[in-house]
Amino acid sequence: MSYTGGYLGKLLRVDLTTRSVRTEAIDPRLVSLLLGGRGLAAKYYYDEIPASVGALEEANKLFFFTGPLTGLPLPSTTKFQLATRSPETRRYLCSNCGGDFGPRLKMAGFDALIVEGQAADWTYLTITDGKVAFGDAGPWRGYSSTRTLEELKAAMGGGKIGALSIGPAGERLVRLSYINVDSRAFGRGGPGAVMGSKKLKGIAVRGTGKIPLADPVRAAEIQKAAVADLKVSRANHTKFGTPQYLEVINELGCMPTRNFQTAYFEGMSKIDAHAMYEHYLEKNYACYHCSVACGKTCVVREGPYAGARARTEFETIGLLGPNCGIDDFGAIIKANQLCDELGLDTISAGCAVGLAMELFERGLITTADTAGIEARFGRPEALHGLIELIAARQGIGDLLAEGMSGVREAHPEWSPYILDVKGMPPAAYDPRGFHGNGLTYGTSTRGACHNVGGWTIRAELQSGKYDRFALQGKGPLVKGLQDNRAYVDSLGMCTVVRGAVGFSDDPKGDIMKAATGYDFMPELMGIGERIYSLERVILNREGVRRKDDLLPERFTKEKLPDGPTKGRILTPQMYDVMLDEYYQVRGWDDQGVPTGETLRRLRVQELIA
Amino acid sequence: MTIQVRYLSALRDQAGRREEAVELPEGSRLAELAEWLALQRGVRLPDPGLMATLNGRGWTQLPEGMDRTLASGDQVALFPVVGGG
Ligand code: SF4
Repeated sequence: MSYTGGYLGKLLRVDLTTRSVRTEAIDPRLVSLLLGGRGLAAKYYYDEIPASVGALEEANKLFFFTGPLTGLPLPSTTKFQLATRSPETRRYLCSNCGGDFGPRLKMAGFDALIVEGQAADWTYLTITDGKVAFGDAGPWRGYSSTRTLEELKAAMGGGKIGALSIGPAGERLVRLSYINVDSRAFGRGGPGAVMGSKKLKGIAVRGTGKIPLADPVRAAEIQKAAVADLKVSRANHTKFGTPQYLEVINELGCMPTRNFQTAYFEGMSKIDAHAMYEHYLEKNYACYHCSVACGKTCVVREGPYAGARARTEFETIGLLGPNCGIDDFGAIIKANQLCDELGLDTISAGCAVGLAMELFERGLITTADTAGIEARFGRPEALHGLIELIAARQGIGDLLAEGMSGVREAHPEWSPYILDVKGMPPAAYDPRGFHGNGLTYGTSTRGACHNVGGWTIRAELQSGKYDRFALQGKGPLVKGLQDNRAYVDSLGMCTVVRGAVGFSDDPKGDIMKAATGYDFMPELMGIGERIYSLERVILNREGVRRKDDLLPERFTKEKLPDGPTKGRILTPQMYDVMLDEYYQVRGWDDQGVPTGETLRRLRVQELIA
Repeated sequence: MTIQVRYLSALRDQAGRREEAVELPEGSRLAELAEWLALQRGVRLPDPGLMATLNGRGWTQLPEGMDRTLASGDQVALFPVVGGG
């Protein structure tokens, strides 16, 4: 297969141990089966990271893969993908991110960047078109992730670059650490600690080349039509960003509150999208080539947190806010900023703080563990103090820095209060209020994640086939959403805009032909299914079976005590109904292992032979 | 009878309020409430861009749809279709 646009056909491999660099061709046969981005990253991970490799060991690698659309003059072509062994889940991690880095990497001439080995001393990398340089990051130790981005920019002499970095938490191998990418994030799964283990503080890239485009005239027409569509279809995203969902999810009785003890937060009106818009919004932020600009830069103008500034999202507000009992938007912005600077994933941090607060209120930890902090729900000082303890690995923070798996290993008796799937804590939806979302958390490749696992909320509210408390039908629903997302994550385009160019579960239109010269559309859902099952093969190899697809006790044993979903629960028996149906439509056996027939049908067999 | 109506997210701006109690004749259906909303608040149902729930369930999922008879104290929430992201 030859493509006339979208792909460069080569990757850059950098070894930090030997300080060597080489370029490699990417096999077009792999592209035809896996598209790019998430699909190709999974294949390289499968080939190069055996199950025995620990996340923080030298043998782990960082696989950054763009997609065919990344960097092209089409809507929101900002995204690229990371695969690595996750410090948080101790298993395969896939992560998708915006910013400028992916597009600039392609302009520098590469579809992908693989970083391997371990530097002897703190290092940063610069990539200028085909040229790689190793810089001394020793003086930057302890710098925030945001300051490190600025240093990288300065080191490159300014101008149009993409950059990614870690903060002090990543340096200290905190398993909740994120990678800051031009102020977007590879957030979940702790990839910042992988960079920390490699003594890699940041990477900057400048590219001056042109990415080939098969049909520039048609691409310009598609771009124009999509921008007009998005102006209407995503108007609320442009105005309110993802925080628009806060009030809705709360009203539906699904908002994680006080470590998921309940799902309705009484203080929502103080922290919802209108509160943000009227009192805190400074400006919108757009990723590369995006007309939606859903990023909301918020600033605190007065009070104890005056001057705090962060880009708050739905998940961040939900987990640093209601999940910690906080109804002060200024305190949430401050906590978000702390996470950004220290280099922590806001979702995992909000869940870790929520857990610590519940343990404190139950008397299972005391001020001796919290450096004197009265770690009660609703106290901003406790929220901020605990975030700092985690990043510094002090007191209870040292244990929380090991992630939920680490906490459970040390204290199995705390299991009723620990919320995670495969070591990853959940996003800001309580599955007792959306049962399909429970299946999402259970079967997401990377743990309790709403994106990779399939965002069911809309379908569960709108589809005439079943409602949010139904069990039947959730298997095919979740599978379809996951396959759809898997191919979108492989394209290099943001999921928010995909509807405007036909990337649904029944892909339509000619955008792929205009971009690459090949009409991928009829194959995309099949490619998504292939990717999802290839990822499952990786997880199986790392020991994952049915027992690892189950939900935490709180969701399955405790009824919601109050609010609109009072009395709701997702018992193990209820969950099994959904999981059995899911395995069946996937062609996996009752332990969640793809059958030989499934692997042949999906041509995964050829990829793992 | 009294129906509690809440306007969430961007719908709050369109309706010009966060919530209200709507008085309707006994035996009214969702369809009558929809008429009232169109007339009084400029909020039209059904609309592919708009979501409505009755006591926490999407109206498209009610077996009777718009013919569903309302009861005093029913809670209706209106908000733009959630799109993910
Ligand atoms: S819609 Fe939002 S997340 Fe997506 S590319 Fe645009 S700004 Fe980035």
